[in-house]
Amino acid sequence: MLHAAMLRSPHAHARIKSIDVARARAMPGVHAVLTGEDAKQYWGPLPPTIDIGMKVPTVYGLATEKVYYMGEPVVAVAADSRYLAEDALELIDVEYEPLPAVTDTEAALAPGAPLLYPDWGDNVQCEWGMAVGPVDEVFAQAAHVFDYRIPQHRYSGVSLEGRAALAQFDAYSRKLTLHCSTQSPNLVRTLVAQTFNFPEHDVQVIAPDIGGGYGNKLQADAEVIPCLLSLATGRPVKWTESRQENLLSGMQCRDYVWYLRVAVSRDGILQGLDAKVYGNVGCDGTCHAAGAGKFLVACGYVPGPYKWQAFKVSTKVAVSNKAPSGAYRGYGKDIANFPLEVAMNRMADALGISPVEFRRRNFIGRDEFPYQQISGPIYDSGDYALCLSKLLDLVDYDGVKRRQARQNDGTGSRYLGIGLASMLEPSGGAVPNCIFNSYEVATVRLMPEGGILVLTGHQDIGQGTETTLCQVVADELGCTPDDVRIIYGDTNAVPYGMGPWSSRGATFNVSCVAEAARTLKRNLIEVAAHLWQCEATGVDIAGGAIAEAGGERTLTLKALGNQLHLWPGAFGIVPKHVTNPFEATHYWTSPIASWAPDELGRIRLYSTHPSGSSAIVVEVDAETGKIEVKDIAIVDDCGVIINPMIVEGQLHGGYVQGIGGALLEEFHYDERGQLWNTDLTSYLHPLATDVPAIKCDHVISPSPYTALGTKGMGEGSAIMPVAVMVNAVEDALRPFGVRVSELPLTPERVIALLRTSPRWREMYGAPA
Amino acid sequence: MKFEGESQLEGSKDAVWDALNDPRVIEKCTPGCQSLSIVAPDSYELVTKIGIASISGTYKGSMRLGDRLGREQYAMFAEGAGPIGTMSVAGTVALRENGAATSVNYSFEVQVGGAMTGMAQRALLPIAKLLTKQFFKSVDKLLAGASLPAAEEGGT
Repeated sequence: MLHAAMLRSPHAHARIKSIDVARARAMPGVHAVLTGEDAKQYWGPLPPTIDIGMKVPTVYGLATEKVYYMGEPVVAVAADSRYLAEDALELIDVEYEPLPAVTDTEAALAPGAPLLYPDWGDNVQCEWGMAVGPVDEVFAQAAHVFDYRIPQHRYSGVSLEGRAALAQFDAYSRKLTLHCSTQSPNLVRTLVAQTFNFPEHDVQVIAPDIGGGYGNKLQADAEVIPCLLSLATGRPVKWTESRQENLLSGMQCRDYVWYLRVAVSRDGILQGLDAKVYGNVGCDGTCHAAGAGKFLVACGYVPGPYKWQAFKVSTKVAVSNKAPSGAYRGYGKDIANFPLEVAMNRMADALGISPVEFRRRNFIGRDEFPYQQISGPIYDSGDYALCLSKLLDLVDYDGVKRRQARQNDGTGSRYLGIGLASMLEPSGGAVPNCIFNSYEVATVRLMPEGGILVLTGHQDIGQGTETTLCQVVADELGCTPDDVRIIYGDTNAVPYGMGPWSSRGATFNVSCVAEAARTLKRNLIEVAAHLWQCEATGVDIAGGAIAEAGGERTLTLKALGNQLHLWPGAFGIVPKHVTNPFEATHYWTSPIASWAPDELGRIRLYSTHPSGSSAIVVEVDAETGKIEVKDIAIVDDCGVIINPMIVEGQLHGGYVQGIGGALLEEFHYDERGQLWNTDLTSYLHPLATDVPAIKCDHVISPSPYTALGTKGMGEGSAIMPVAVMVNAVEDALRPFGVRVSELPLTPERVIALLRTSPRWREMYGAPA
Repeated sequence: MKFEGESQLEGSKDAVWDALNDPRVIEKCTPGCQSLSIVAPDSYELVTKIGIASISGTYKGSMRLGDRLGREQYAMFAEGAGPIGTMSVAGTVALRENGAATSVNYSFEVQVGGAMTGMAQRALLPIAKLLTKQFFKSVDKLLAGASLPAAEEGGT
């Protein structure tokens, strides 16, 4: 087996003038040294993963004429060991002509900005907008109009397990086998086949139980490089991403700025929302990864869980000289949630209403579902006011407010604050013209010995898919989870399926598995009824056995499996009207998603709409700027809960990730496009000691549109905390009247913020 | 990134000035310098080999001296690229009599690129300090009349 290493660009934007690989090629132990130009004999440009009216650049797995971001792979090496491969990189001479770089979103969109793709004429990868209702009239007549600029910085799902790929091209069978750490083996198979113009059915992708898939592992980007090296050498080639490579290029996320205008009536009723979001997808959000689409999702969901009379939204998505942008636990729902939930608290303040009461006045009511939001989606079910009420009890909101009044009297330096926000978590996306498509297929199979195999294109990424699907199938087929085995992660073993993203496991995957199990169950009951010459209506399966009503005759699944497959075999015992008693395959898609625009041009991309509320209690030290998280409470409504422990695990993990984004995590690009923090001592994550025990409670509003009433819930917990934290810090620092304008809230930023307060400068004797 | 410091050299201001502006001295005293070629007066191309842990490797670059204010101060511009990134340096070197010795003050703005960026804040300044110290130590030895051996790997 050979090992791959990649020479990466030190420049954020530069023309490649020459590459000399002669010395590297001559090094003993080196088997291949390929530049972007060399590689063109094996592959074409990276195929688009999303193209909804977007500009799609022609880019390759290795840079060709230009480099667009610091860390972009320029030359690939395969050698006998990783050590030799890394040494060979040092023998490669690349001559660059540095070009002006642009990193800031609004600077990239400004006239005269350096252009990444000059033939575009600008840096706009994607542009979209819509308006519904009498927007101008509502704003002209509103008692209050509020304006906000709310930016969020760039961070991502930086997981312990980075990317890894082992590509094996077998020249004899002309088969390409790729083991890799991915969320969607089937999509990777298609993308690899498209990249190399290689027969897709000759590509096999195998992904065992992986970790670190928070949306970051949804593409074939660097993974194509080991494939390239294997095709060139005819030998297996392995690449394991280093931490530095992961931080430089492992699909980044967030990075945008909102401008919100909100019209509110005299009595605190939301009337109009006029919102613009400028997104930054780094060098690309279409081919390297599908980051550009998240801003369209954000546009559709910025109205949140509230009612509006008029709505206008637009987005411009910029390319810049930063790493490519993909998905990360939110994919636009986070972008939608953050600005509005911060604005809700600030508006409540300005109106002299509590943030709780302001939300209550504007929530969609529990009796109004299914509710078509002004932006188009159909919200399936929910009880937003109940989530908020339960949250107030869970976090003892009134108690915290009383303690706050005592503690923040100006005598101490630690200021207590509580922030809360509501959340809408559209889950189970069905997006046209991209890899985030709209169906899932599962097969449930009865084996001769009575065990059940479930074949799914879904992928276990540590989210408990194997556990929940075993539970679902065991419940449907009346057996135990131990009788069920979930097969996933091998494209040659499972139906073509999409994998876990958009929290679609509990919508698409659970639904198709449940429906397939139901079909299999009906067929098995028909077979038993036929054997017993009785009516099928009285037959059921429980405790691993099929039983006649009244319990006279029973047949274990093992006995039935044996009869069907072996003694005597299907021919003798299956009634004519049962076409396949061995297995059932179900294709499931959402009944409420729709790509046919309605009369206002709106489409509906999500199949369920989980919701929730959460609160954080903080103490902010006005002397040091340190924020201490004292309490966290979450109330989640994901419909029917399959496994409470897994649901709470998702809530805990996601929430801590969100706190990381609010307080610590940030890609530090300077204005030249140089990334300064490429290790985990400078890209900081929250530690277990940074968060208190998290309290959870639930509201259960079953979805009428999924097989079991379940809804997805993998992202909501990660999308709430940034808004909640900003609200908590602004609440704590109320005596200083400051508004957070930059994230993450490091102690330095908190002090810089406090420095803008005359009162703080007076108290701490600091100059203006 | 700012990189500033001061060194004391045992020699008159004039002697130190001549030494620091002499390409042969620069070639002999720059840690790890493998070759220095004169492109034009005050304009050189260098190849240096650094042997310090994570930044070890061969660096190619150019250096230019200029903007002289009498025999007191001059400007230095340098840029280079090596296995883990790029670096450019721009700043001034100022000399001041200090009894029989001479104080050399330097103040540079350093820009790094590539993988070097990630370590710049923590590791690069100490390394730059070490290499600068090594440089002036060599100059000092030369001024004292020693003949220097060919440059070794910088930092070793």
